[in-house]
Amino acid sequence: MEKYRPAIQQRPDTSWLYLLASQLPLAPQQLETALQKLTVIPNKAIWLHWLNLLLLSVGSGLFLSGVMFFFAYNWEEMHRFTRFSLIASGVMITAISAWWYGVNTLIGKLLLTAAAVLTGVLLATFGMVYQTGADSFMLFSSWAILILPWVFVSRFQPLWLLTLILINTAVFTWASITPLNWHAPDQAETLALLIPSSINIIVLLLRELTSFIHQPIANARWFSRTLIFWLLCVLSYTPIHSAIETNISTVYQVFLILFYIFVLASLTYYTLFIRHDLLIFTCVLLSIIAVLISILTQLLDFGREPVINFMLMGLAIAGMTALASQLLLRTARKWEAITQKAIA
Amino acid sequence: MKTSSINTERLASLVTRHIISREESDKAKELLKANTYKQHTPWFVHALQGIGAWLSALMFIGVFAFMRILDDATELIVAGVTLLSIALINTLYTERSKSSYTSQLLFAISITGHALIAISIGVMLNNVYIAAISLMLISILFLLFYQQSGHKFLSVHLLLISLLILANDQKALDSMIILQILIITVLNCRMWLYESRYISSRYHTIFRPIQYALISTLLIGTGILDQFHHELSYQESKLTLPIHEIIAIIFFCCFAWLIHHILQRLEQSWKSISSLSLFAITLILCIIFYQSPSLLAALLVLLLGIERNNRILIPLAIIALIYSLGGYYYNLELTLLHKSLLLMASGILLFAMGMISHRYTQKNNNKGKQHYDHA
Repeated sequence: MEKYRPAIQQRPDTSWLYLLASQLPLAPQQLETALQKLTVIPNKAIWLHWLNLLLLSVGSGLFLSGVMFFFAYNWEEMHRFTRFSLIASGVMITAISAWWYGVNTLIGKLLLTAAAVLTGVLLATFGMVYQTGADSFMLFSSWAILILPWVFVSRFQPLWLLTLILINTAVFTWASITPLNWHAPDQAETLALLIPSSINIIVLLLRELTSFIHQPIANARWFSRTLIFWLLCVLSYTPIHSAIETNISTVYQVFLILFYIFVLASLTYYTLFIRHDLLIFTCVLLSIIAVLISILTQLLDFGREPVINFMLMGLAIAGMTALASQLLLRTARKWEAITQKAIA
Repeated sequence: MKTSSINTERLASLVTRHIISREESDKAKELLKANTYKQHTPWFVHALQGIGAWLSALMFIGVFAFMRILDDATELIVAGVTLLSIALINTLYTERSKSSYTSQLLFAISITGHALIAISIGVMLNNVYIAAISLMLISILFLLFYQQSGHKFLSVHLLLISLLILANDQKALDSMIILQILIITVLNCRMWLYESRYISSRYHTIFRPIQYALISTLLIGTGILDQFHHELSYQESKLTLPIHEIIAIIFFCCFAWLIHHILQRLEQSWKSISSLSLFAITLILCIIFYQSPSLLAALLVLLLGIERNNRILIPLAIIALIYSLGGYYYNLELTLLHKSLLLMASGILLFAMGMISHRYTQKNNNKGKQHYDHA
C-alpha cells in the first residue's frame, strides 16, 4: 500500500510571486503560467489528492455523527445485546479494515479514527444501559486509555488531537466532582489547569522533537499551533482572573502565574531562537496583551473618571497592538536577514 | 526559514522554462531582497492590528458616550466627520514617516468615526438609507486613499453592507436576496479564478482586500439566510419566488463555471466520463442541499481555495462547511432515527466514493510510474 504523504505541504508559498507580479511588469498570462509550472496552482494529482481527502474525511465524519445520533437516542425497542453487538461489530470491522488497508494509508488512518470514536460510543451506551452511575470523568478517561494503542500505531495527528481533547475533558470534569473541590477548591482548580497543561506540554515537546528528526512532518505545523493556542488560553485564565478579581490569595494562584510566565518565556525563546514561527509568537504576544488589558481594567477606575480612563484604555490598546505588530514584522525581517546571510 | 534560497531556485527554474527573462529575474531578486517582509505582512499580523483597532475604537466610543455627546445627533455627526478627516488627512500627508503607533491609532480613530456616523444618522435620525449612502461614500474615499490593507478590508465590507441596505426593498425582498447572492457569487468566482489579471494590474492593492471581503460577505450572507430560513418559510405567502431553488441554480452555474475552468486549465475534455460525472455530482449536491445556501457557499469557497492554493480560504471554508453541515442536519424536519440513518447513508456513500477515487488515483500513479520506468 502507498504510504500516506500529504502533497499539499510540499507546495510553495504564493505570496512572493504575487509580490513580484505587483512590482515587475509581469503580464497576467506570465504570472498564471509561472504559478502553474511551479505547481502553486494545483495540477491533476494534487486535485485528486484533495478530492480523496475531502470525500474520505467528510464521509467518515458524517458516518460517525450518524452512529452517535443513532445511539444517543435511548432505543427502548432494541435489546441491549443488539445495541452492544452492533457497536462492537462496528469497532471490529473498522479496526480490521484499518489493519487490512494498512495503518500507513489515509484510509487506514481514517478507519482507525472511526474505531476510536466508536469505542467511545460503546462505553457511553454501556453506561446508559446499565445506569452504572459512573461520572463523565470515568467515561472520558477510560475512552482515552482504551484508544491509546491505536493512537500510537496510527501516527495520525487528528487522532492524537482527539485523545488530547478526551484527556483534557476528563481532567476538567474530574475537577468539578472531586471532593477536593469542596474542601480546597483552589487546589482542585490548580490541578485541573496544571495536569492537562503538563500533558499537553509533554506531547508538544515530543511532537517538536520528532519533527526535527522526521523532516516531512515538520511542515505540518497545525497540530503544534493548535496545542500552543489551547495551552495559552488555559494558562492565561489564572492571571486574567486574578487581575480582574484583584486577588492573589493562595499559593496555588502564585504557582500558576509563575508557571504561565515560565511557559511564556520558554515559548518565546523557542520561537525566536530555535523554531522560527511567527504565528506562535503572535499567540504569545496576544496572551500578554490580554493579561495586560485585564490588569489595566483594574488599575483604571472607570466609575470615577470614565472619560479619561476610556481614553487611556483606548490609547493603551492601540499602543500595545502597534508595538506587537512592529515587533512581529521586525522579527520576520531579522529572520529573513539571517537566511540571506547564511546563503551569502 | 529558507524562503530566499527557495525563491532564487524558483526564479532560476522560471528563467530556464522561458516564462520570465534573465533581466526580469535579476530585477525580481533585487525586489525580493528589499521587500520580502516590507510588502507582505502575514494575515495574522493584520488580524492582530484589526482586533486592536476595534477594541480601541470601542473605548473611544465609550469616551463619547460619557461626554454626553451621544445624546445629540448633530454633535455626533460633527465628531464623526472630524475623526474621519483626521484619519484621512494624516494618512495622505504622513504616509511614509508615520510610526506604527500613529498608524494603529488612526485606524482606531477611523473606525470610531465610521461608527459615530452610522449611530448618528442611522439610529438617532432613524434614516437608514442616508446612513448607508454616507457610509458608502466614506468607504469609497477610504478605499481609494487609505493605504492600510486592514482598513481597505473594512471599507469593502462597509461598502457592500451599504449597497445591500440600499438595495433592500421590502416589497421585492425575494428578488433582492437573489440578486445580491447572484452578484456576490459571480464576483467571487470571477475575482478568484482570474486573480492573476487583478494582481498584476495597477490597482493590485485594492483587489486583495476586495477578494477577501467578497468571500466573507458570501459566507456571512448565506449563513444569515440559513438562520432566517424558517422565518422565510413562514413568510412564504409574501414571497413570490422560490428563493432557495433559484439560489441553488445560481450556485450550480458557478460550480459548473469553476469545474469547466479547472478542466480547461488541466487540459481535460469536459465531455469525458469523469468530467461529466463531476458535473453530475455537483448537480446532485445542489439538489440535496438546495435548502442550505451556506453549505453550497462553503463548498464553493473550498474549491476556489484549493484552485488558488490559498491558505486562508481553505481553513475558512472547512470551518464554514462543518458549521453549515451541522446546521443543515439540525434543521432537517426528520425524526432522530431518520436523521441518523441519513447521516450514516450519506457518510458511507461519500466514503465509498472516496475509496473508488483513491483506487483510481493509485492506478494512475502506478501507470505513470510504469511508463516512466519504461522510458
